[in-house]
Amino acid sequence: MNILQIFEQIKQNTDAVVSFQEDEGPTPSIYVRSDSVLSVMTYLKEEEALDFNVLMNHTGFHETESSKLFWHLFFDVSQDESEDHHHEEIRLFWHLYSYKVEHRVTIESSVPIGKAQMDSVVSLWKSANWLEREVYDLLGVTYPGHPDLRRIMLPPDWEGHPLRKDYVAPTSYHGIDNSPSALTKSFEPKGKSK
Amino acid sequence: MTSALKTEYLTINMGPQHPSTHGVIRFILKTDGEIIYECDPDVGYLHRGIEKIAESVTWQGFVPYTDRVDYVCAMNSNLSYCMAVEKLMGMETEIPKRAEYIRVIVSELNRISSHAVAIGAADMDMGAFTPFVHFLREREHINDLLEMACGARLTYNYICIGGVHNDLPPAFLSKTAEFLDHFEIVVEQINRLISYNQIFIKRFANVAVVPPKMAIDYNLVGPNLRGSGIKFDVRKDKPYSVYSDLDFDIPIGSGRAGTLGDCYDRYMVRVEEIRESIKIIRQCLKQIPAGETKAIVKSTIKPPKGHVYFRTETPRGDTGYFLYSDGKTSPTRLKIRTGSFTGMSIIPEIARGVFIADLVAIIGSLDIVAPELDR
Amino acid sequence: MDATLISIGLDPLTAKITSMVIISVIVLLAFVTIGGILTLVERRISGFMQSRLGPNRVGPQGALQWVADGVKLILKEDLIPEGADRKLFRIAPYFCLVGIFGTMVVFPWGKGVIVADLNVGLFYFISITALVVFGVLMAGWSSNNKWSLLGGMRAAAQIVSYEIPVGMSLLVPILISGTLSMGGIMASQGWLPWEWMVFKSPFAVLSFIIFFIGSLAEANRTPFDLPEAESELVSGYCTEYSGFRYAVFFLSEWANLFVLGGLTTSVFLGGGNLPGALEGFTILSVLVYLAKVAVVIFVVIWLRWTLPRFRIDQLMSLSWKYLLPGAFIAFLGQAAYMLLTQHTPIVQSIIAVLMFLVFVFVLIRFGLKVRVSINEQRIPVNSPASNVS
Repeated sequence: MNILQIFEQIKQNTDAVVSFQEDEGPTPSIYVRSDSVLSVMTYLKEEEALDFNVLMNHTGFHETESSKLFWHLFFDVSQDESEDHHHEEIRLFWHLYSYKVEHRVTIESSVPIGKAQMDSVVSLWKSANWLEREVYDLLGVTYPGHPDLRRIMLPPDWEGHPLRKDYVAPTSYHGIDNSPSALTKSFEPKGKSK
Repeated sequence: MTSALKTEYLTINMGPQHPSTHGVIRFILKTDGEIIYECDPDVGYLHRGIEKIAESVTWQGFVPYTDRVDYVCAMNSNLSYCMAVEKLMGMETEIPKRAEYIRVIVSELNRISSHAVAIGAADMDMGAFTPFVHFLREREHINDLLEMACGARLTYNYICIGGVHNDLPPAFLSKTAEFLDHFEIVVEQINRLISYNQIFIKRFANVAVVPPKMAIDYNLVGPNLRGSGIKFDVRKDKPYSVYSDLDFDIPIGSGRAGTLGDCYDRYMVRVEEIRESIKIIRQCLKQIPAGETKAIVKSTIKPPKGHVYFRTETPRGDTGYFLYSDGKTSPTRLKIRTGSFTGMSIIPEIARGVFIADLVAIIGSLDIVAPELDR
Repeated sequence: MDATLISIGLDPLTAKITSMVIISVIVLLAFVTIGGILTLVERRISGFMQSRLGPNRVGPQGALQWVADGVKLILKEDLIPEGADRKLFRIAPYFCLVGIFGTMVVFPWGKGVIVADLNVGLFYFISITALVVFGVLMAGWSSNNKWSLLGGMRAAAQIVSYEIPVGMSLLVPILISGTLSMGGIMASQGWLPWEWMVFKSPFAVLSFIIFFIGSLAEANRTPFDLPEAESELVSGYCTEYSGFRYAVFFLSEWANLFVLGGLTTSVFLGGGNLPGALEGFTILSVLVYLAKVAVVIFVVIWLRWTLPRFRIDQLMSLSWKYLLPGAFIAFLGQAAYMLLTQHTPIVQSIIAVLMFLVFVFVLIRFGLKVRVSINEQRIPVNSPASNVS
C-alpha cells in the first residue's frame, strides 16, 4: 500500500485532521495535528490492512522562524498565538513499518515550543519508550503518559535541551571548565569573535 | 516473628568500567544473590553530541563523524550516511557502477570484521579468550586490506557522497580473494573451537529468549531480529546499491540449541552472516566493472529542502539516518537510529530473573557497541 | 640430614630443629620458584595458542619475567580500601598460601624424596587444602566490595561442593593400594603405563576423570574459574588487593596448579617410579616425576585457554548430579571388581593393557584431527604472490 492510499484510509476512517505532504524531499509524509496523533497511531497499528507493527524511528527538530512553516497556510496550528510569538515549534516525525504488509509511512506533527507536549505512543510500541526519552532529553518535548520519562543521554541534573537551536552550551559543569581555549578561539571566524 | 525478618535486594553497580560492558555502559542491578531482579541500563557515557555537531559542519564534512558513530564498522556508517544524502539530493542513479561495487565490497569486508569482533567478544565474555584473539588476528588481515584501499585501518572516511574517494589499488581484488579462501576455513575452525562447544551452547541456549512478537515490539534490528526468526534484511527486502544483483541468503534463528530467539540463535546468525558476506564479496569480485569511481559532486552541496529517512543494513542491523535539509550547506537535523540503541532498550525486559553471568551473555549476544548507542 | 648434623657435633634436638628449618626453607624456595615459573609458562603457552609471543623480554626468552613481576608487585603500595575489615583483609592471603604450601609436607617428589611420608598423607592433603576456602571467603568478605563478596561466596560454594566428589574419587586408589600414605600409593604402581593406577581397572579411569574435573574446580581453573571470572565479577575476591598481598594470592594460585599436577601424577599416573634396573637413581626418579607433572600442567593450561566457563548453577548441578553419583559408582564398582578378580590377577592385567591400548588409539585419532587443523592454517593469506593482480 503506498502512502497516498494510507492517507486516504486515515482520512476516511478517523476524524483526525490530516494533510498530505509530498513536496518535502524524496519521502512524502502525512501531517497530523498534534491532538490527534495518538488516535491516528492507534488506527495505523490496529487496522488489519495496515498493520504497522514497528515504530522504526521517532525524532524531531526545532524549527525556527527563519524557516517558513508552510502548513500554516492550511491549518491554524498555533492556537495559543499569544504564548508563541515567534512561530517557533518542534516538528516531530514517526517512521512506521510493517513486516507483514511490507510498507512504510512517515507521520509528522508539530508542537509549539512554548507548550512542547505530545501524546506518548509507548502503549502501542515499546520501542517508543527510549526514543521518546531521547527526544525529551535533547529537544525538551514532554510526553504525558510515558511510564518513565527521564533524561537518557545527558546526566539527570543537566540544564537545557541541546538540540534546540537557541541552546547555549554551558561554560562549566560541576566545576569542569568548558570555556573555549585560546586555540579554539583562534579558529572562529573573524566576525564572530567577541 | 516472621515479620521481623526481611530480605533486601542487593544493589550492584555494573560499569561503566566493568570488563564485560565493552566500552562505557552502566547497569544498576538489583539482585537477589546472583539472580537479577531488576536491571536499569544507564547509557550516555559516550554521548559526544554528534547530532549537534552535524548542525554546524558541511554535508561532506560530516562523513568522518560517521566513522566515529560506529568505529567497529565505519565503512557501513559511511555508506549509510552517504546514501541518505544522495537520496535527499535525488542523485542515487548517478553513482557509477564500479563505485557501487567497491562500496559493497568494502562494507561487506567491514561487516565480516565487525561480526568477528562481536562473536569474539561474546566468546570472551563466556571466559574463552582464545577465539577472541584468533578473530582479532583475522581482523588484522581485513584491516590490512582496507588500509590498502584507503590508507586507514579503523576510521576510513573512504566512501564519499557521489561514490568512493579513490579507485582500488591493482592488487586489492586478488588479495581479497586470497583472504576469503583463508578466512572461510578459519571460521569453521573457530566454530569447532567454540561455537559447537557444549559448555558454550549450554551458556547461550535458552537464555534471554526474545519471542518474535517482542522483537518487533521493541524494534530489534539486524541479526538480533533475525535471531528471533523474522526473515528481514534491508539488503534483501528493500535493496539499495547493487544488492539486488547479488545472490545471498538471509540466515535466521531456528532455536537449534534451545528456544527460538535465545542468545545462541543470535550468535549463530552472525556466524552464518559471515559466510553470506564471503559469498557476496566473491560475486562482487567477479562482477565488478571497470570505469569511473565517483560522480561529479560540487564541493559545497546544498540538498533541496526536505527530509529523508534512509535505512541500510549495517552489522548491528537496520541503521536509519534521518536528515532534514533547509537547503543550506549543513543539515538542519540529523538523527541516527542505530541497532545498539534498540538492542539496549530491550535489556530491562529480558534481563529479569537471570543470573549476572547471563546478563554478560545477553550483552555479548545483542552485540552492543557503546559509541553507536550513545552517539 | 639429622645424622649428618649430629656427626658435626650438634645434640639431637638442635639437629632436628635445624634440619627442619633447612628443609622448610628449601621447600619454600622451591614453592615460590615453581609458582613464579608457572606464571611464565602459562603466559608463554597461552601466547603460543593465540598466535602471539607472550613475555619474551626479561632474560632469555622472557625466563626472568616472573622475577620482574614479583619485584614490581612487592614494590607496589599495599592498599586497603576504606571500610574494609582490616584484620581479615590483611590475613586472608596467608590462609591461601598456607593451604597450598602445607601440601608440600607430603609431596612425593620422587621415590623416597618426600618431606614426611605421613601414614595419613592423602587425608592430610585433602584437609589442608580446605584452608584455602577460609582465605578466599575472608578476602571476599573483608574487601567491602560487592563483586568481591560475590566472588568469595562463589568460591566457597564451589570448593566445598567439589571437595566431596574429589574426596570420594580418591577412595578408589586408596582401595587399590590399601594405604593412605603418599609413598605407599606411589609404591603400589609400576613404571609401565598399564601398571599405573589410572589403568588398573575401569572404575579407576572413572574416578580419575572425576578427580581431574573436581580438582580443576578446586583450583579455580577454567572452565570452573567462576570465583574470579573477570568478565562477570571484575576480578572476584582479589579485586581490592594490590602489591604484596596480591602477589601472595597470585603465587598460591599457580602453586596450586603444580600441586594439582603433582597429586594427579603421584596418585594416578605412576609418580616417579623407575624400571627395576634403574632403581636407586633418585635424581632420575625426580625428573620422571616432574616430566609427568609438566604434562598434566600443560593439559590444564590447554583446557584453560580452550574452554569457556560454566554458569554457577551448571557448576553446582555438575558436581551434585553427575560427579558425586559417579564417584559413588566408581567406589562401589571398584570394590565389586576387586572382589571378583582378586584371585585372577592375569585378568586384571589384560584389562589394564586393553584400556591402555584404547587410550593410545584415542590419542592417535585426536592427533590426526589436530593435524588437519594445522594443515588448514597453512593456506596462504596476504602472500607476496597475490601482489600481482
